[in-house]
Amino acid sequence: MIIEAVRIRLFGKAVNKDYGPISPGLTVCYGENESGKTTLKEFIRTTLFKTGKRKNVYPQTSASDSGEIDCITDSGKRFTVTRSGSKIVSSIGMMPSDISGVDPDIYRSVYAMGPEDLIDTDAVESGDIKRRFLTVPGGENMPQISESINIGMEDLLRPEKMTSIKGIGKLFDDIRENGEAIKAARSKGPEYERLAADEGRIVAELSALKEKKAEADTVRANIKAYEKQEMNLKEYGELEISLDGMADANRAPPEGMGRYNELMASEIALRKSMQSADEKLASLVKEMGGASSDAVMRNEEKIRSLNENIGSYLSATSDMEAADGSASRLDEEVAALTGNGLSPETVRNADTGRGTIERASVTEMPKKNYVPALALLALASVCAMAAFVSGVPYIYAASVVALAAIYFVLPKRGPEDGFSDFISSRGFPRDTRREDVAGLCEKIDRIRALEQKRDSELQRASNMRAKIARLETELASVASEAGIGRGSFESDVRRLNALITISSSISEAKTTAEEARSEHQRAKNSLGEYLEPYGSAEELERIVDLKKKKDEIENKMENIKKIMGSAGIDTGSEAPMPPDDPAEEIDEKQRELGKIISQKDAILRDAETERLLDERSSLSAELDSEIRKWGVLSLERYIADMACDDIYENMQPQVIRTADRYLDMMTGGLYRMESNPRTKDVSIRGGTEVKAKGQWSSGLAGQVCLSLKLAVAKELSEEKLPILLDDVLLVFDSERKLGACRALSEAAKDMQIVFFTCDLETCGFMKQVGADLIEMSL
Amino acid sequence: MSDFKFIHCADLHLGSRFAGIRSRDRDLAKRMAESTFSSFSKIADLARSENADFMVISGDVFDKENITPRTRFRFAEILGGLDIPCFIAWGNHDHTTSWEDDIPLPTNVHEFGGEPERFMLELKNGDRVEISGISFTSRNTNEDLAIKLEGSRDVFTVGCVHCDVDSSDASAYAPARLVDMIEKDIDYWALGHIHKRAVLHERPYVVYPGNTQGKSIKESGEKGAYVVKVVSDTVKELRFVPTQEIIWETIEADITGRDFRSFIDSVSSMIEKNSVVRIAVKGRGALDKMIRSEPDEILKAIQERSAGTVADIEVLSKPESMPSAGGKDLVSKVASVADSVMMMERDRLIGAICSTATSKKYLQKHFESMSDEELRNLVGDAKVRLLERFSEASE
Repeated sequence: MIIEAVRIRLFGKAVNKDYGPISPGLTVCYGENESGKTTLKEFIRTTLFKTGKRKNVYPQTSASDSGEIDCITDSGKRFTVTRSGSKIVSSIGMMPSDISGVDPDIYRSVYAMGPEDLIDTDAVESGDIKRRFLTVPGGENMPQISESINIGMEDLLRPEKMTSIKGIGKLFDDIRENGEAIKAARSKGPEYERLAADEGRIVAELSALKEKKAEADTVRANIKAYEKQEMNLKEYGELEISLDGMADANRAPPEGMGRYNELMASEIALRKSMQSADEKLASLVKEMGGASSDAVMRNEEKIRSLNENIGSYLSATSDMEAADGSASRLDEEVAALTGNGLSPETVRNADTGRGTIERASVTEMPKKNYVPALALLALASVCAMAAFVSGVPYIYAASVVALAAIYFVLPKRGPEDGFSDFISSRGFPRDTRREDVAGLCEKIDRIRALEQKRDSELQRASNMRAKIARLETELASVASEAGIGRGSFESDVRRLNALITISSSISEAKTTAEEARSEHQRAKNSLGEYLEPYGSAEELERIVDLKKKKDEIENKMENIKKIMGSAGIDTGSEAPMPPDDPAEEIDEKQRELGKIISQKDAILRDAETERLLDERSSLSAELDSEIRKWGVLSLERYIADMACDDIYENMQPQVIRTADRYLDMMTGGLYRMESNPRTKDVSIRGGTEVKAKGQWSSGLAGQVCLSLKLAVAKELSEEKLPILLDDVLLVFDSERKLGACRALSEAAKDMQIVFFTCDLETCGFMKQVGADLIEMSL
Repeated sequence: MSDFKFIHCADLHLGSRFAGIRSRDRDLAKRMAESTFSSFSKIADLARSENADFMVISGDVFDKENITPRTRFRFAEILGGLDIPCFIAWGNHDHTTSWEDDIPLPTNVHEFGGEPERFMLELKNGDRVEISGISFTSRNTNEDLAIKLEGSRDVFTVGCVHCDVDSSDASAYAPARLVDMIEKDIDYWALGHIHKRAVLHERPYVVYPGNTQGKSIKESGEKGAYVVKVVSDTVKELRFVPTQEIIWETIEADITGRDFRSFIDSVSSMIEKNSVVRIAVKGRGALDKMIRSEPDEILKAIQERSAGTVADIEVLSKPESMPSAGGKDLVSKVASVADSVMMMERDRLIGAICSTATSKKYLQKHFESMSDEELRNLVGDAKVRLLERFSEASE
């Protein structure tokens, strides 16, 4: 974008000022102080890139500010920005900030510089601008990566010095210490060699000492034997004396106390058997409960018979009771049947055969004579009527009674007496009626049958009673003899039966007890007979002990005699002298040898060296791993460095290259600019010397800053924006001023530069490099 | 004509420690050191169970830098438990020192000295076999020891020597030539030194049994000893019997398309009991970042779920996306520079890593001891990690 003309209606002190046409390249606006340079610059800046109201900036904006700026875009589109108070509009609707994408603050710091801005490089070396312009593509993160690699490497190995604090240095240290420990441990090999030599020497010495000791031992043994011989002799004599007074020992039985002990044991055993048999017998007798076992055994057969008849007895008792009951019930039936006028005589005598019944039916029966009776009845009826009529009731009653009496006393008619005689002859009462005969016969037959059955039952009861009585009598006899109290038949018989077994055992126990008693007596007799020659058991014991002692003494004497004979030592000669004993020396040597052997053994079994070797192996593996890690990091750094060097050599950031060109022009080729790809810091190379930011002089810093800002301004936006420089070269000396003017002239080939100055020299240099001049005045 | 059976083993390296273990488990280091003894004990058991007539041990029983009296004592104890003759030719790692002789080996052991020696062994069945051997007397020798050995035409001869067959002439470990060896009257060359078992020739047999226990991931697979059966003076059977306590293995684990849980579960299930594994992480995915940044934690998580032992994790995987080296931005430049560093010659690369005085002084020799592949892996790791840093910083 290029500013073609500026028309200020009112702004600060400027009123109706027209500037233009303005060159698309380099223009110098020269004027004395207060000639309106800053007013023009600020009008352009604040109109094209509107900012908020700022204090202490001349001129202050106001509501009456007005004017226009004619511009043309890089694509050739013309437009006018009109300002009226705080209202600023573009004829094409888009403001320069919209066209370029540069915000007003960036424009002010990069494109619209005053002298103070030349010492501020932060604007182009920080933040987004730095990230965008001072590195190559992909190099934005290089510093961070580089730092991370360096930290990683330093963790493993300090670049300037190996330390034993951590990482590889510590492992080297550990391995060194381990190596020393292994060296110390492995010195055990030669140590073993020394010990083996010592062992050989001591074994040889021991061998010599042992030979010496063997000789000494022989002499000592002889001395000991001599002394022993003398002791034996003395002991033999003492034993001989002790044999005196042991004559009684000869009386001792050859078997010692053995036979006596056998007899004594037998007597005790038999006595115990006897006591046991007696106890058993007593227990059985007690079980009899006072009954006589002899009587029981005498009556064994009877008891067994009674026992077998318990069932019969119980059955008879039951049968008897049943028969008695049955007879009683039959009696009651007979009584019931004979109750209705049947006399016992009739029952006893009546002939109830078929003939009686048949003949009774045919035999004529006597009849009554009713004629007198009927006459009387008629009379009576007349009387009764009369009485009724007369009203005398008693006459009537008397008539009725009289008539009845007459009727019943009427004599029977003959030959009625034929049936009565017949029935009477058959044992029936005479007044038996013909129609009752058959029923009576049947009844009498029934009664007679019942009586016969009753009599039979009574007979059976009588028989059972007799049987029971017989068994009871037999039991009473046995129980009395055996001496047991009576209870029920069954229980008594059963008890007696049980007593048979006990009585039988008593009999056997008596026999056993008797035999045991006899055997015990025999044993007692044998013991007494055996002890008789000695008087008592104590005496026998004394004699036997004496014999034992005597035998011991004689054996001892015999042994001593043998030893003395075999030793062949003449005790009469002088005893040999004891030699020097090397035992202590041998003990000492053996202790020494033992110590050496255990030291050798300890070396052979010592696993410490192995442990240290294991440790060394692990440490070496760990070191190898850490060194490889370090190697990878080192290679990362190397590759990154190489890549950076390579890419920056061929592909320095465009801003740096542009700035470098401007600086080259400003400094007449004395200084070149480059960027450190790892830090992205700008550095200056003067010949072989590289100067980092802090090492620049103020003049050089101004040149660098101006170069950088011009380069950034060139690269910041595709739409090139006009640069407004307000006496930025005042701090430079003449040479630098001229250099800067050349650089500005160069930069103006790419973008419009309007340079405001009150410095005549600068103005001259500007004109020298081809700048258009606008003389300023208010 | 003799019939007999013998055991041939070598390179026991008793008590030696293991290399290339990321795990910081010190018990693991101990267990691994112990495994050398365990393997040799199994060889002794093998001799018993096979009713072997004798045993030959062709050097490097111990590691000079690790030998202790206890190591030699334990070796002597194991040999003492055998009731058959044992022949030892010492190697470059266990040429004798004075003190070791003071811990005597049992009487059934015959040690060959620095001069060739022929030992006629009468077997229990009355047959005879000759054992001809020679030992190292110093750590290095460019003298051909094998050529010094002689055998018998009429007796089966076992040549026992620690040597380097057909390697470069500059070998410091008794260089020998196969063509010379097979011309000798030796029927079985019982060799030691090369840790990978190999039968270099048959009739006569020239055999490296390999070491008895792998010591690093480079020595993977089964390790043990040979049982050699000779019938009528002819080798009828040469049978390898594994005795190793620990098998080193490399397990390839692909992170492509996996999340953390499924990756850990999948890798854990691949690790068998008694195996010691290095996990080579391959593929491409988001897990790459986690494994690179926390390899110890990943190792621990896998270890907790697996039956065997996880010794190391080698990260050969790539992140989900990698910037191409062709771009003009810094990240692309980093990628292209890393690729060029990968191609740098070894000394320059080590110089680039150790650029400071401190690192030159203390660490340079460590990197110098690394293989080219290991150095390249470091560069690859650095590239991925650096690109991750850019990616993280821009998030």
